[in-house]
Amino acid sequence: MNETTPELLKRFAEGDASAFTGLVERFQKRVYYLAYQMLGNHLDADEVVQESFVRIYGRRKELTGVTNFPSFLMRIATNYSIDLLRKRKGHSQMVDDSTALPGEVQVELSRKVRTPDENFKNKVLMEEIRRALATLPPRQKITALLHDVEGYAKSEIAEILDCPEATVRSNLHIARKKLKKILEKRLADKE
Amino acid sequence: MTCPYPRSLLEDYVDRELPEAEAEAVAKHLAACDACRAEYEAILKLKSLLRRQAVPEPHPEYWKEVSSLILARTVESAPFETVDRPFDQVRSSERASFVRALISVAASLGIFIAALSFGSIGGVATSEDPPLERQVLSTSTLVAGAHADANLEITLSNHERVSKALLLLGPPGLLGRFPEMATALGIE
Repeated sequence: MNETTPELLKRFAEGDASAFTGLVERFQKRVYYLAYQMLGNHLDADEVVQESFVRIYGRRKELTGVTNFPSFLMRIATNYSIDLLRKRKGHSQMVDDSTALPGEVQVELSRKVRTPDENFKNKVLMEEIRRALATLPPRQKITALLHDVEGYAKSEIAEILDCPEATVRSNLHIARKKLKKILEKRLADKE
Repeated sequence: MTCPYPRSLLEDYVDRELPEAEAEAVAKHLAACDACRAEYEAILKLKSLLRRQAVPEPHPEYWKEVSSLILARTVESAPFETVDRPFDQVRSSERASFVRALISVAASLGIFIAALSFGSIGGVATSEDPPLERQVLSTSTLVAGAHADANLEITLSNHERVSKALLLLGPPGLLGRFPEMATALGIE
């Protein structure tokens, strides 16, 4: 049955536990990918996914008044990710766990077929981007990820981060400026 | 080389968040300004680089596992029926519990008073048969006393009263178990 998110939400708010399962299945990947990009490893991303939905369940009475559930969920997930990122500050937050879990498959957003040499160059580039992102303060980083990677509009990010749209613009501008500076050479490459 | 053209307009143009008329104006400016065009291309390329980040796909079973874990931590440990009752129902149920508790306390108190009056206090109040009163505190005393004192009369009503008390409280009876209570109640 292909229920819309508002329909699932309505059933969930009315006390139907199966609707909660539907919401988890529908949104868990979105939360995981954002958390992974934010925190850089599977364990933390997993913690964010679980904790976000547990919090949603705990706040189910508030859901009747929620008009944009994805934003509501992402707000919980980003707040938790930011907390976790701050907690991990000083530790190696960008754990390269690309080979840590058996059976994991590297899925790249650009799904070109690459030669081994291209693969190596691409891995180096990814590492550079990751390091560049890691230099940003949490809120600038999450703003850049939500906007430039996940494709959220500035107004939606303002809703997710619970801040004025002007703050989102300013954070995005500063984040891009810093990233451009760090990735200057890459940006000058002719691809 | 820099251009005073607003950066925010340029960024909104890259992000396709400008109304058509303003977007056209920016496009015109970009066609004429090298510095802004270079900036525009740099933002465009940065966005493309960020989107190319690799996200390792977890094990295929992961999604089912994490769903089960979440359900175990939510629905299965705090079901809707017990947690999510409407406010009115919660209040009426609380009221019912309170009334039930009150009834049980009253019943216990009633039984206690009845036990005391059948077993002890009733005896004290009756001036006709003082020996029995003492004897109720201990069945052995009662039997011994009955045989030892030839003048002692155990009336039918007294016997019934003692039997009931013993039935309620069991030998040797509440006051027998707690002699201090007997003293506190003024029973010798």
